[in-house]
Amino acid sequence: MGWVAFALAMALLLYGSGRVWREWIGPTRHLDRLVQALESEETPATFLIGERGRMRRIGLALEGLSLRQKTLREQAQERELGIQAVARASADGVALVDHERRLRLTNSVFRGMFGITAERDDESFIEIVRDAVVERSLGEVLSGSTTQRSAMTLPGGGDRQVEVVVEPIQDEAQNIQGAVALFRDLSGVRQTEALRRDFVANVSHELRTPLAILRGYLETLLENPKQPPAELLRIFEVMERHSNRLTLLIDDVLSLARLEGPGATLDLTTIRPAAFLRGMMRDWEKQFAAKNLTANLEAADDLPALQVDEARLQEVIYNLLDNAVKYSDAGGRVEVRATREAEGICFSVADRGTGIPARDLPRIFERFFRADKSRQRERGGTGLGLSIVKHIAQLHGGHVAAESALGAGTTVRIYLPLVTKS
Amino acid sequence: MIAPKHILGTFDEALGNLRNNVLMMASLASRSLENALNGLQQRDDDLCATAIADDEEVDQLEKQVDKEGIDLLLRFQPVASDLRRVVAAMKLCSNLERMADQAVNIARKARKLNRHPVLPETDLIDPLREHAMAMFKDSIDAFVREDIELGRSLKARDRLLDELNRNASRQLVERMAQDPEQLRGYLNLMFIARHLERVGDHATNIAEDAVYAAAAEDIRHQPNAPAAA
Repeated sequence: MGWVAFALAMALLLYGSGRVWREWIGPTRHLDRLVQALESEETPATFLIGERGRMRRIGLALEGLSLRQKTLREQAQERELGIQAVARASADGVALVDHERRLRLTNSVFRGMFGITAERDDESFIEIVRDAVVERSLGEVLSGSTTQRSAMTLPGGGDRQVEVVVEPIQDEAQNIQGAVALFRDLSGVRQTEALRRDFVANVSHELRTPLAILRGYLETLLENPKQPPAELLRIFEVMERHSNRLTLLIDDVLSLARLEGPGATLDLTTIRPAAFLRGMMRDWEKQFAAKNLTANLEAADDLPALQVDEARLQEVIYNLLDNAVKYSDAGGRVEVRATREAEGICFSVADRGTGIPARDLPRIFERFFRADKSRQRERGGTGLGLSIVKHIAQLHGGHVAAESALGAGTTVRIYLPLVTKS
Repeated sequence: MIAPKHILGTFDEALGNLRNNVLMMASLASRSLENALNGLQQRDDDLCATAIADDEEVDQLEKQVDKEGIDLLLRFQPVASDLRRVVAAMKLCSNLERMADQAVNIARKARKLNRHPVLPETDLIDPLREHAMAMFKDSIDAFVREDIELGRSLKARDRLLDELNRNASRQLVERMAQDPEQLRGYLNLMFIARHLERVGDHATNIAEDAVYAAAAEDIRHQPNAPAAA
């Protein structure tokens, strides 16, 4: 009897322990493993803890939390990558600053401006930027102001000015979490502005000079129309010369505007360089003869055909020959060549005229730049010819070069590819 | 060399604020000097007036840095490198405030000079300006980056600035003898050169404090400092 009771008690004990293990200890250990896996951002094989009851519900809730955590992590990562991509793509320097004024993200433009490496991204904003006004703008934005704009000079010498725009970063509840500072380099803008200003000033000056002469003679004629015939003829000749000059200038300005405009196009045809240059030389025979110049053409007939805008190339050679004739002394020599180069064909026009000082040579393709200012008027010309030449070469995917020595003459070369990409 | 992060976050925060205010002062003082010197070279009284007006803000910041520094010493009672950093920041701000005062002095002299026809001898100030401003920038760099070598180099460069000042003064004295009518103008230029020389002295002090903060080494009043490169 006693043995039976003992066995029964043992069976009950075993059954009870088994149940406690199955219902509590086993699932608790499983739960512990799940939580540890979630903490280390791993995805467990299963979230099912037990077959029913509270533990099963906890397991399913954890699965929901894990999925939510994963989605949030992916969203945050996408956002972070998006921000990084935007910062990388920006032509401005970008710095993301937290509410403690520490740098959180910078792009390479910003790092280049302030000479820092990416590893210093956790530093205080002012330690890197070191500008009181910009720091003050940042402070105002972080304490609730709207966008702030200021300007500063970049460190590292020179006078590189940047415009700084500081914009707040707000969360959904409109709380300010930090700020983004954009640094826009103004040197390019200023250079363009200066170029535009110079261009307008130069054009006005160039237009005004012949106009003043025309007006002067018109006033003379109005005051005293009865001039001797010889004087009248001289006056009309001067007026014709200056009205031609005005037409030429306006043509050149329009031509340059068309070439520089975004819609500049080329009407491409295939030409044989030697035949093309022979044609040009024939057209210029009269001008060469007028100054008693010896013109020489060197262009092999077997040079490969070239795809160019023929009218534009004629303009290029016209401008170069015009300069060569203008700056050659009477009885001088003009040499025109076309040669095969690795990149395509090189056209060159050389004279043995006055030449250009070395300091002016890099600037001769600039608009209105004149090496010989004092004698410009007597030689005519608008100061735009070489600039037009450069633009036409560039439109064809080519480039220009010049060499010169004072008293020995000038050679201008135009390199054009065989095939121009339209 | 970057200082290891402090376990007590609030100390780092307070020290960070102190440094930020010092850098703000440095930027303001540098801007004032640039404004004053541009006011001289471009003969622009507005720039001189800006330099004079900005001094007020530098003075306020000096008081704030002093207060924050003392608070920090009392609250955290820092020792070793922490203590040196706090003390160096406080000493720095006093030098920066004096630099801003030099900017005011230069701006006042520039305004006087701007009332009269331009003196070609104003160009004598250019090399001094370039040298003094480069020293100023490098002294702050030495402090921020804890760059001991850069800090040490300032002393020799200060001697070069002294020499530049002597040269400029000598030439101005010669001009005074040749053209006594412009005596007042030449004197003002001499004062400006002297103020720039003082800017160099303050930059050297800052560099000395930077070396002290970074390496616990006192390089003040050492006669055998290395010569300028």
